[in-house]
Amino acid sequence: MTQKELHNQRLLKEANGRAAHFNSRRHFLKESAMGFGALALNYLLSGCNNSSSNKLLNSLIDYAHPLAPKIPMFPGKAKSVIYLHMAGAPSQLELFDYKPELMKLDGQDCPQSLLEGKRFAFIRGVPKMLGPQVNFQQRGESGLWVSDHLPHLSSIIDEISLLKAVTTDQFNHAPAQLLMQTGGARLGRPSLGSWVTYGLGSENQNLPGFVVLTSGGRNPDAGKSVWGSGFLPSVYQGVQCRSKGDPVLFLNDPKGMDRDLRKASIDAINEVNKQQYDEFKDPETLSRISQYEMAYRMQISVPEVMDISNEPEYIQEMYGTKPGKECFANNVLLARKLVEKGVRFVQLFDWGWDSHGTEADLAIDYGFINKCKEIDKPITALILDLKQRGLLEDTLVVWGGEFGRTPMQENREGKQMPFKGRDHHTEAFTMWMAGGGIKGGTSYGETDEIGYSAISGKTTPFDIQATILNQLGFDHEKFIYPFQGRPFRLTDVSGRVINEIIA
Amino acid sequence: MVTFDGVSREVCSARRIRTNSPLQALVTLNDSVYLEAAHQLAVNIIKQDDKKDIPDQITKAYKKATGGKSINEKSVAALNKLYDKAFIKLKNKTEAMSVVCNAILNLDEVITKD
Repeated sequence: MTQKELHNQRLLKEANGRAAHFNSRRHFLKESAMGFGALALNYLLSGCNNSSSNKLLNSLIDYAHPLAPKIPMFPGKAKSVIYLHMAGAPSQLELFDYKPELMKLDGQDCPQSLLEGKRFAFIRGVPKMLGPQVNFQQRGESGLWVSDHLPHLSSIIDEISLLKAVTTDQFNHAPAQLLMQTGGARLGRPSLGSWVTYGLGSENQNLPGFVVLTSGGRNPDAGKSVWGSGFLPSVYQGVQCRSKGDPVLFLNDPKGMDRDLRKASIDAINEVNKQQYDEFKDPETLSRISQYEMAYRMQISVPEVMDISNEPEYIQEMYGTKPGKECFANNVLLARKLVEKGVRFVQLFDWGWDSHGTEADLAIDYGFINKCKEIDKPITALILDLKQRGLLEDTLVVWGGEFGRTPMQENREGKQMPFKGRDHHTEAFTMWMAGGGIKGGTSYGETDEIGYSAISGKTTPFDIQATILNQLGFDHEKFIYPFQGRPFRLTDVSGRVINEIIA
Repeated sequence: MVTFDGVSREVCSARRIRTNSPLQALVTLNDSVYLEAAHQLAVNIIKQDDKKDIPDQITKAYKKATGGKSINEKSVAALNKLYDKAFIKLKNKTEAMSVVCNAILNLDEVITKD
C-alpha cells in the first residue's frame, strides 16, 4: 500500500470513528461528564437563536461539546499544529538568508536609496551596513544554506521548507505579533489557535484543545491577546500553562472531598449555571459550563500528560531539557507529548530575540548566539521525535518571528551602539514549516543580494495563516464566523495558500 | 492573577481580554483562599439560622454571595442534592454546607460582573 493510500485509509477510519462517536448514545453518555444534563442542554439550545447567521454558527458550535472533534471542509494533511514563535524577531541574516554580498559592504555607509522614504523603529541618520556575523554552509541533500548557529537543525534541513521572503507591514513587536497570530494588528481578533480549535475541535476531551507555553522570562509584547479568542466563544482561547513548577495549579481537591463529591459539586454548579443560561441566554455561561467539565477532567489527565519528568533519559538528552526550570526545551518536549495525546494546537512563545545591540543579551554577536543554542537542539529533537513516532506527517510545525532584522547595523539615536545589533525590518524575513504535508528541503522566496527586500516569492502573515488552515483542511476564504453583522475570516480580505511548499 | 489573564502591568493595556479557562475553574474550586471563604460563608449562614431548613440556608447563602439576587427553585434543589450527598459523606453540617458554599462561589452569576 502506498503512503497516500495508507493516509487516506487513516482519514477514512478517523471519519468513521467520529461518525460512530456521534451516533453511539452509550458512547456519548459515557464520555460526557454531564451525561443527561448535556442532553437537556442540547434540547434547551435547539429552541433559541433563530436568525440565519446564528443557524450557521450553531451548526459549527455544539455548545454542549464545544471541543468535540469536527470534520474539516476537505481532508487536511495535518491534524495538529505546533507553532514556535520566536518573540522579538530573530535575524534571518544570521540564520537562513545567506548574503555574501552584504559581507563585502560591512562597515560602509548605507546607501541613501535604501533609506529614502523609509521609517525604522530605531535607526536614525545614516547607519553602516552589517555583514553576516556567522559562517554559512550548504546542508543536506537539498543544499540549503544554514548558518553555523544551528548545527543540529542543519542536519534535518531536508525535512523543512524555508520561506525566505516573508514580509509584514508592522515594525513594532506587539502589532506585528498580533498580525501574525490573529490576522489583525489591532486588538480584538481571535488567534490562529482559537480559529483552529473552533473549526476542528480537539481529539482529546480531557485536555484543552489549544495550549500555550512561554519561555525566555517574558510573555510576548502583545500580551495574552495573541492567544485570545477575540469574538469567538472564550472556550476557544489558548490555555496558558506554567512553564516552571506545576504546569497547572490547584489540581488537587480539598481534604475530605473525594472524586464522587467533586463530581456532584461540578454537577450542581453546572445545573445552576444552566438555569441562568435559560434565563439570560448568554453563550459565555455555556463556555463556563464546559470549562468546569474540562477542569474536572484535567484533574486526572494533567498530572499524567503534563509531567515531562516521566519521559525516558534518552528523550530528555535529545531535547536538552532542564527539569524544574523554565526553558524552551522543556516546552518543546511538552508540546510533543500534548500533540501525541491529541491536543489540536500548541503555541510556544520564546522571548529574547530582539537583537538591537543595546546590551549583551540583545546582541547579534552575543545573546543571539545563546538563544540559537537554546532552540537548536530541542527543535531538531522535536522534528526527529515526531518522525520516529509517525506523527510528523500529520503535525504541522511552524517557526518564525513577527518580522525580520535590517541589513544595517542599528545606530540608536544616531550613535555607535555597545554591541552589534540590527533594527526591526518588515521587508524581508525567513520563516519555516515542516511536517503536516509540507515539502522537505525546499526554499521559497528570494531576497535581493543584501537581504533588504523580497524580490520574488513574496509572502505575508496572511499567506502563512492561509497555508496553515489549508493543511488542516480549511479554505481560508470560506472558513468564517459571523460577528456584528458580517462574516469574519482569519485572513480578513487577503491570503494565498503557498502551494509551492506543499507536498 | 496570571491564571485570570490579568496584565503584568509592565506596559499599559488598552483592553483586558475576555477570559474564561478551565485553569480559572481550578483556582476558584480548590485554592485555599476560596475554600476558606466558602467555609466562613457556611459558618455564618448556620450561625444566623441553624433552625431553618437547608433550602432556606442555601437561598440565604446565594443571596449573600450574589449581593441580593434570588435563586430559583430548580437551582435550590440542585444545591440541596449536593448538600445531602456531602452530608452523607462528611457527617457534619458545617462541612456539608461548606461544600455547597464552595459551589455557590463558583457560579457564573457570582464570578462574572454584569
